[in-house]
Amino acid sequence: MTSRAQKILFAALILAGLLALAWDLVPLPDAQSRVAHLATVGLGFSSREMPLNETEKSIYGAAQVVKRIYRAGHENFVVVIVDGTRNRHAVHDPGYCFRGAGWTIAGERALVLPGGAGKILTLQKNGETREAVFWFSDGRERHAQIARCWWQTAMRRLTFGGSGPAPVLVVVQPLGDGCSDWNLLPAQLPALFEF
Amino acid sequence: MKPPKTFPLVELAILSFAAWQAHDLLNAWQHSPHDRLGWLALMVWLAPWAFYWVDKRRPELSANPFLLGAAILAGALSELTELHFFGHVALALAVAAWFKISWRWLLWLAAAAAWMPVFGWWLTDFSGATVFLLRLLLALTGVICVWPKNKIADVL
Repeated sequence: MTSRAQKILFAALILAGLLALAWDLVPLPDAQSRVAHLATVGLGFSSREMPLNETEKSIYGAAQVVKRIYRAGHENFVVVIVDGTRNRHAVHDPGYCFRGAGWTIAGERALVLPGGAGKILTLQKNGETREAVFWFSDGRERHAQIARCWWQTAMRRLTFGGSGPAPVLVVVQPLGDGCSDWNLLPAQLPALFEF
Repeated sequence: MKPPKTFPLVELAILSFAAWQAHDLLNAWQHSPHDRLGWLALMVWLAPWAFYWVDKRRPELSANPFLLGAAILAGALSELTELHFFGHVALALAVAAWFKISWRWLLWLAAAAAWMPVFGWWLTDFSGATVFLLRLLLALTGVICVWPKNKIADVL
C-alpha cells in the first residue's frame, strides 16, 4: 500500500472515530413520555407492576422496560414493553427470544390491531402450548416486522431522532395456560393502543 | 526497486477498529443458543489468514486499501446505526483485505457469514446443534476455496 493511501485511510479512521463519539454524545429522545401515559387502571382492567428478574435485567441493560400483569375481566396478561432507545440491542425478534428460551414456534399468524397489525406466536415446550402476541409501536403505527423496526431505529440514530418517534416493543402473554381470543385484546386492554 | 518493508500500522489499526466494532460477538457466543460455538467457525474461517501471517513465502505484509476503506465505512455504519451486522462485515472485510482479490477469495469472504449471528437468525427454525454444524460446514467450504493443495501462497 502506498504511503498516500495509508494517510487517507488513517484520516478516514480518525473521522469514523470522531463521528462515533459525536453520535454517542447526542442523546436520542426516547419513548418514556409515551410509555408513562400507559394507564395502570381503567374501565374493565387493572394492573400491578412486576419486577424484572436478574436474567431480564442483564438482557435489557440500559433499555427502559415496563413489565406488568394486567387483569381484564377474568383474564390475566403479562405485558412487557421495551423502549430500546438507550440499548437498541435489547429489542430482539421475540420469536428468536422464545426459541432461545426453549420454546418451539408451532405457528405464526397476523393479528389486526388499531394502526396496523401484530403477530400471534403459538409456542410449544414439553407438550405445553401457549400463545404470545407482539408488535412494535411508534405511537401511530403498529407492525410486527423486526427488519422495519431496525430500519426505524437506524434512521432515528442517523437523524438524531428526527425521522420519527422511538418504536417500542410490546409483548403480551396470557398468564398461565391456554390461549386468549386475541381479537378482543383492543377492547379488553385499550390502554395498550393509546401510547 | 522494491520499496522498503514497513510495519503495517494503519492496516492493523483498521483491523483493530473493525474487531472492536464486532466485539458483541463475545456476548452472542456466550448467551445466544443459535450462536453458541460460533467462535469455532470463526477460528476455522481465519485459518487461511493465520497461515498467511506465519508463511515465510508470503509477500510483504500489505492490505488492499479499498477493502480497508470499506471496512472503515461498515464499522462507521455499525456505530451510527447500532446494527451489529455492519460491525461483523467490517471485521470480515478488514481480514479479507490482506488477500488478493479473486473468485476463490470472494467465496471465502462470503463464507464469513458462518461466524456471524445473522447466520443463526436466518436459520432460527433449526436447532442450535444443526446451526452449529452448518456454520462449520460453511466455514470449511470457504477455507477449501482458498486452500487447495497447499498452494495458498498463490491466492494470498
